Formats: sequence, structure tokens, C-alpha cells
Amino acid sequence: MDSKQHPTREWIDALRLRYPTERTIDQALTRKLQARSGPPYVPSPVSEIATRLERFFAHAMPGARVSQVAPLGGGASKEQFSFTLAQPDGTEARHVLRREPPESVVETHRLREFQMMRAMAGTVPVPDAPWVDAEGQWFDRPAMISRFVEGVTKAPGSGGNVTGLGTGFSSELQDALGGQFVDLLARIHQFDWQSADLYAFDRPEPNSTAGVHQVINWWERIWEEDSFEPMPIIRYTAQWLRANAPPIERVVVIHHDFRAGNFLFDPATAQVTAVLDWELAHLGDYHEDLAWTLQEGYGYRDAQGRFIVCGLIEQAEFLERYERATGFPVDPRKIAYYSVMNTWKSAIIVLATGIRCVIGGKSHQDILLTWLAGFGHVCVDTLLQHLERAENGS
Amino acid sequence: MVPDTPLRLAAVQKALEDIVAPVLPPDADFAREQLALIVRSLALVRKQIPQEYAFHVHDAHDFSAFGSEVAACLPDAHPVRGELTQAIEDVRAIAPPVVPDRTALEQAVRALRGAIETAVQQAGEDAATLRAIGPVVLEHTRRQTLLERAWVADTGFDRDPASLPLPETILYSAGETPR
Repeated sequence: MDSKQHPTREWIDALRLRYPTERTIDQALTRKLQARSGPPYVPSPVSEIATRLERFFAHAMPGARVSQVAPLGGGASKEQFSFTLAQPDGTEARHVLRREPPESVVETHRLREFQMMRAMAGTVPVPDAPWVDAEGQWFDRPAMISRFVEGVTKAPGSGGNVTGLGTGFSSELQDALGGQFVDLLARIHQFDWQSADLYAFDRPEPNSTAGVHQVINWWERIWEEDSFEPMPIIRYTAQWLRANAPPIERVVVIHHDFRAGNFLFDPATAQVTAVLDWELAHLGDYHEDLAWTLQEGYGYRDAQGRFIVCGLIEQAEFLERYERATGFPVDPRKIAYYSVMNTWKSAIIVLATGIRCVIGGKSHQDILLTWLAGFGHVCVDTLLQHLERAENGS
Repeated sequence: MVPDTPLRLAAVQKALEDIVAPVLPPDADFAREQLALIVRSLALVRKQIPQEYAFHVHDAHDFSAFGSEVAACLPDAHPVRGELTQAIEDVRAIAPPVVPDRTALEQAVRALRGAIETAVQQAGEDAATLRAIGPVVLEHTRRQTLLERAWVADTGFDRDPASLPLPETILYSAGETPR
């Protein structure tokens, strides 16, 4: 009997108490558990999405018209539909509706994503995000609407596995995009978040490990909630992370999934047109983002054995350019620590949450999630290597 | 092993039913007919897979007994008697005496893994115990991950697939302590 598929209120309350984390993260995870016993995912007919959009805009923008509603491919974690919105003044623009499935490979809060995208507008290119339905009042489940941005995540005909993993870029694209890639990350980290409207986010205390422990609690709670097959290495790593947590000296915005596949560029000009996928963004130590982007699975080694970060830029150049752009020193010990943490998180995403979604038939991408489990075992192998390196100080 | 084969097939079946079937053109009769059979075949296979090994072992015992009964009816000097007796002995040498209930075995192993996980978690709250338990956990994870990576190598995510052993070279020594 898999009791996690039918969570009791007592179990949910105990988890919340045992793994204290950010308010809105707690809300999203609790909502997931409360809905788990409910029905599986059933695709909504396009006509139903169109009707919901029409009702929403009759309220949000009376006189606007919705047309050309169509499902969009991709999107491992959220359902996506494109549509054209004709505003009362006659202007037309394509938009994207991002709606949560009943359970997602990453369970996040739409208000957080919405606030962060709006806050970052003007700092880096992001899709304009005018509307959010944080509680699912209009779209049955929480959803967000943003402007459609033209661009591609990879050059036509390039290789790569699913969701942008292992995406390859030509040397011309590497030259054109590599520098932009670093500079965008630098601008995210330099952003003055204290002046922004980010009330959905808890603010970690600087020069303290409290914020790091909140992140560990966040992800260990997910493991507790979602894992089907126990894995002692996941628990060992959680304890190792607690025992070795470094203080956050400088609190910055963490994108949390800054990699190839999560930005769009114009293939004609090779200019980045949008940074996407802000759903895991939070406030923390910039080394957490750097270590995420540096993950082996997102890049490759060239003929000289040099690591090419996200298939775009050689690692030493990536770090040097980042330090020059931000003035923030890169501490290799913190990179080592967050490499352990991030690989651990990746393993939890694909081996716990992804599988849990499939068990309940809860997502629009169950087939992709079973496929991604193959990446999970590579993550665990990489986690072993990072733990050994961090322990040995190499 | 997550996901196991029945779960993978459930996801395939769901994608075909929810995503592919609705967009087949109304006049694509042959494709619709084939898809319906594919979906029904998947549903059948999902039910069969957990029992398939037990089916083979059942056959081994049942046909051994049947073969023995047939042999008993043959005159001692009959030319096929030796061949038949040898075939029965070959099967008996391989077939396990009892097939464990797969579901019960899976649940028991999962419970054991859970008990180990809890032990690691609680022991790890003490720094000295965490250091002591670390090498044991890492060494086991290394062995287990090698098998898991080999099992799913065809997903194409592994950085060094050529270095992976075939899963069967690990699995068929499972009765030995893998040290």
C-alpha cells in the first residue's frame, strides 16, 4: 500500500512542521498533497480553454477578444496554450497561458513566478506577464498569462535530448550567445531585489545559514512527499548538506534553472529575446545558480577536455566573465557545496516527483517524465562524484 | 528500479489515449484501428508482466511432471526415453523450486530500503556517525547506480554509455554478495 498516494491531514501537518520552508513554497506543496487523492489529469479540449480565456478577459479586459487558441509543445512542468488577444483598441498580440497540471514535476507557486518575471522586466529580457490566476479561480487550476516572445531555444537541426538537455550549438552561436548568457546571469544577480515587489518571497538573513537550511527543508520535504522507492543516498546527502551549510554572504535573486533550453534567441541575429522558466526562482546565494548552470549534464567536454557550460562557453571563461561583470568573487568551495545540493535536487525532481506524477497519472507529460528518470540515475552518479570532491576538497 | 516496466507502459498508454488518438484524422480508419489494438495490447501486457516469470516457472514444473508421466508410459528401451529424461533434468536443474510473489517481494524490498533510509537519516543527525556511515552509503550507491544507469542507458542521458556493463552481467550474480 502506497500511503503517499492518499495523504492524511495528520501526515501533511507533520511534514509542514518537520520541514519549515518559505510561506508560498509551503502553500504550493500543501495544495499538491491536498489534491493528490483527486482524479488524474485529463486533457482539456481547446474549446474549454478558449471559453475560460473569454470569461477571464470579459472580467480583466472587457471588450477584448480571444482567438487562435492552440496547445504549445514542450513545457515539462506546465500546460501551455498560445492564443491571440485582440484588445478593445484594436491591437492584437499572441499570448501564452501557462497552467498547472494536477501535479507537476516541479510544484511551484504561480504568484512567485509572476512577481519575479515582473520584477526582472527591464533588467533582462523576459516575457511581459500581465495576468496571474494564483488560486485557479478562472482556469480551474493556477495559471499565468504572458506575452508570446519570438525565438528558439536551439538552432534548427541541432542535437540534444529532451527539455534542452545536451543541446548543441554551432561555434558561431557559441561566439554570439556565450557572452550574453553570462552577462544575463550577472544582471539577474546584481538586481536590486530589495526595492522590488516580491512579497511572495521570504528574505533569507544575510551572513547566516538559515536560508540554506530552508532550501534543504524545501527539497527534503519534496523527497518525503513524492518518493516511491527509498534511496539512502538522498537522506545521507540531506544530512551532509545540513552539516556543511555555508552562510549566505550576499543575498541575490536565484533564477534556479538558468541553462540552455530556458532562454529564447533570434536565430537570425543570435540575440537573446527572453529568459524563461522563473518558477523555481528564490532569494539565496549566487553560488547556487552558478553551480546549477555548471552541471555536467547541461554541457559537454570538447576535444581538449575543457568543459563547455551549457554547450555555450568554456568554464574558465564563464567564471572569469561572471566575476568581471558582477564583482562577486567565486568561491570554489561554495561551488562544490552547491554542486552537491543541485545534483541532489535534480535527482529528487526526476526520481521522486516525476515518478509520483506518473503513478497518479497527474501530468500532461507522463511519458516524458518516465523518460527523464534515465537522467535521474546519471544525477545520482554525478552526486557521488560531487560528494567525494567536496569531502576531499578537490 | 523506478519507473518499473508496467509504470512505463502506463505512461505510454496514457499518451496514446490522451494526446495521439484525439488528433488522428476522422477518416484514418486503419490508423485508428491499429491504435485501438496497440492500446489494448499495452493494457494486456501491463497486467501480464508481473506474472510472466511465474508463468515460465509454472510451465517448468508442470511440463516436468507431465514429461515424467509420459516417460513412465514408455517401454524402458524406447528410443525417445533418454532424450525426454535428459530434457526433464535440464529444466529441473534451472527452475527454482518456488516463485516468490513479485508484488510481495517488491513491497518487502521497498520496506527494507525505507528502513535503511530512516537509519541513515537518523544516524546522520550526529556528525561523527554521519562521517562513519558515509563511505558505506557511497559505496553501495556506486554499485546500485551502475546497475540503474545500465538499465536505462538507452534513454541517451549517460555521459559514458560505452563504459556501462550489460545489466544481465550484474543481475545474474544477484544471489552473491556484490563486493
